[in-house]
Amino acid sequence: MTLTASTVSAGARTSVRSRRRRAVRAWPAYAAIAPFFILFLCFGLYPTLYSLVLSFQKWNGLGSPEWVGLDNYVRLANDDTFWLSVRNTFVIFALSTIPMMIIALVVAAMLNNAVRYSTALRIAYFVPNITSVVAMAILFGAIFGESFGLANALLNAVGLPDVSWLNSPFGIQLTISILITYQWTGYNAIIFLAGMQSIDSEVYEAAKVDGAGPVRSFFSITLPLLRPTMIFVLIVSTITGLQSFTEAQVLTGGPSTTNPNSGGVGQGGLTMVLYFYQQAFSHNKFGYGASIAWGIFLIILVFVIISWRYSVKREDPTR
Amino acid sequence: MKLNTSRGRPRVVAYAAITSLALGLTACTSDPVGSDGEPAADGSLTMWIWPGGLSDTVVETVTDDTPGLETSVIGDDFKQKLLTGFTAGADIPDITGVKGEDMPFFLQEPDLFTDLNTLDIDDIVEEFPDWKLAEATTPDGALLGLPIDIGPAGLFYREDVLADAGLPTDPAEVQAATATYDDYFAFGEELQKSVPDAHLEVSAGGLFGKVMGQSETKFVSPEGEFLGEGDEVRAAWNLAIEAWDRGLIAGIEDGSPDWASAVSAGSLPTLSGAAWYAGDIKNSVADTSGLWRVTQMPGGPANIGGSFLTIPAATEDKEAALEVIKALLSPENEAVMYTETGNFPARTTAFDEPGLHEGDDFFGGQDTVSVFVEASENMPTVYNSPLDNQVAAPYYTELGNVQTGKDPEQAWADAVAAAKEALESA
Repeated sequence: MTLTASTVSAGARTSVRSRRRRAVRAWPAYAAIAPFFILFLCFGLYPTLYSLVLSFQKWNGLGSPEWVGLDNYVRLANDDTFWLSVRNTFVIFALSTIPMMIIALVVAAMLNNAVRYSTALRIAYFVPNITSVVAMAILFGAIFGESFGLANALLNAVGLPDVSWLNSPFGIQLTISILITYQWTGYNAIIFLAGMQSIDSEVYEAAKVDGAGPVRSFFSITLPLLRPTMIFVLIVSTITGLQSFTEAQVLTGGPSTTNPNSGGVGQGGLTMVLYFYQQAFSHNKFGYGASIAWGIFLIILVFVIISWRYSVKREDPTR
Repeated sequence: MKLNTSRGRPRVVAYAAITSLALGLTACTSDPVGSDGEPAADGSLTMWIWPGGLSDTVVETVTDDTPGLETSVIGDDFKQKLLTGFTAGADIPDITGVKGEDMPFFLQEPDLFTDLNTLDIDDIVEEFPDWKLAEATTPDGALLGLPIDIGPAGLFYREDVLADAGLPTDPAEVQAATATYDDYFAFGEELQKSVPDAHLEVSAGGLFGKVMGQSETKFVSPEGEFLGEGDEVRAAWNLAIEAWDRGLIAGIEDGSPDWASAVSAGSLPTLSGAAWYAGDIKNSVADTSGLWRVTQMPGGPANIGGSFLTIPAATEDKEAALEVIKALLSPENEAVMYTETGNFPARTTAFDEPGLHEGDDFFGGQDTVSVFVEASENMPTVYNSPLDNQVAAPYYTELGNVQTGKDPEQAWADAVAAAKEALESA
């Protein structure tokens, strides 16, 4: 079906015979892309659609599902814990994305001007991104321990009081944000660096001739011309940031089986996805869990549309 | 000519396409080969267990005697993977472990498992504690699993810290001095007089959980009624709040780096937990070896954890599967399991095995097994609802909030409201 549809659109007024010839000639190309689409159908599209069906049901994972209509969504809208998890997610998102973008820009600018060891430095900045999140979260748990952690020891050394990093809701959010920033800054710096290197050096030379210093050319040339890259980074960070899960789960998890995946003290680390995971997999509410997942989808969709609209609008006048 | 040259290439592509299609199709269908419906003519048996669920040595010994036994050690979320197998109706193991905390959930669907009472278990079933077998028994009396291990709780304490504080150090004396929670709290205040930064308990939620573990009723009755406002829950809550108000709770997370540091520094000189908790302590603070002792819990015995071996209903040769379970749970093997993994034997005859009462160097040569045997003998039989976890969760969350300054009465009201909502929506 897709074969004929695409050939019709490709060729105008073709005879049946040549259309068939085209289809025959094109099929290796379709065969080549088939593995992805078959796997996507099985492991991407089917579970997604199934979760939509599940979100209208009540199911504990073992017995027979019961159709409950919109009950799950009505409950979701009135669920204080869900809205708390939405708030937590946005606090963590803001606390991590803004510093991450700024630091990544600075790092990229420095890497761009690095004369020596630039490859080694790039690797060093990229390493946190390919390190296991779980391993890092365990390490961060040790660093940000309240009474005996390295972070508080450093604060004490310069005369500052202890911060209860993992024993207060905001402390947990701050620690998760630091972890996310640490993990993604290098990755985004590399993307910014690629964006910077694609800027024509003639522009910089012209600016130099006009007497612009390095700071002036950064703000007047690099930043404006980096816009598309920044929008890309922002959208990707929005999607990953709003789906943050592992960091929160490991940092606040503990070995407890009595109250698993609850997000730690004051549920400060309960992100939207962690709440979904807790409801579905710890409390066996698969139907409700599915409706949370769709709630998350809608929220992320709204934000992606906002950033997309914003970026398109701002680009229009320059065209 | 033109036709000829172009012929070779599509053939290669065709193979690639067919392979990828086959790959995709097999990924879509649940493969029924080797699962239910296929008689295990070769006598092969599959078993699923999580890491540390059974001792490796025991599994090796039993495998040597049972050719065809294949054991898969499955990490991460074991229950979820088992659930997926049952839901798909494929690749279900012939024998599988079920963790104690997951048993109430699986008891809801007893048809998935073999009722062991229909098999020949008369010779061994008497050797397991009734209260533990009750955890795997449906209201209709079907027994879905035999226990691997149990989690009788005790009070672990640092002898040196108590001695420095001028408190009793002998297990029997400590037990007498901490028989009830009132005694225990007074003991803690006495301790703080000489060790000001010492705490009795790790967290308010932890204490609440242990007191609830000692209670015969939990959060949901067998009839599905809400017990979260009942006397038992309120009493456990009050004890946790009282201990917090009297400054006896450290307010940190069990097993966290802070916990390990506090235990190592001696500011958590008493720790209550199941027999397997000794393993956590040994791993975290190996340098305090010889300084620890263990005695009975304040307020009576509690069971925390302990797993089962079950035979799914789809298993062809149930008799052979039962033979494997019997071999795995033999008294000798249960004793080996305890020394190797720290999982406390569920089979009472294992306590008589040589070497089990020799004493533990970490506990200064104390015969710790006898302490847990005594706890096991006095254990109450409790009912665990499959909904307990989700109904209990708000209480733990709110006790965490109390630790960060929330008003206890407000926290109680919020916990009850959230717990009711969790039960109604379940």
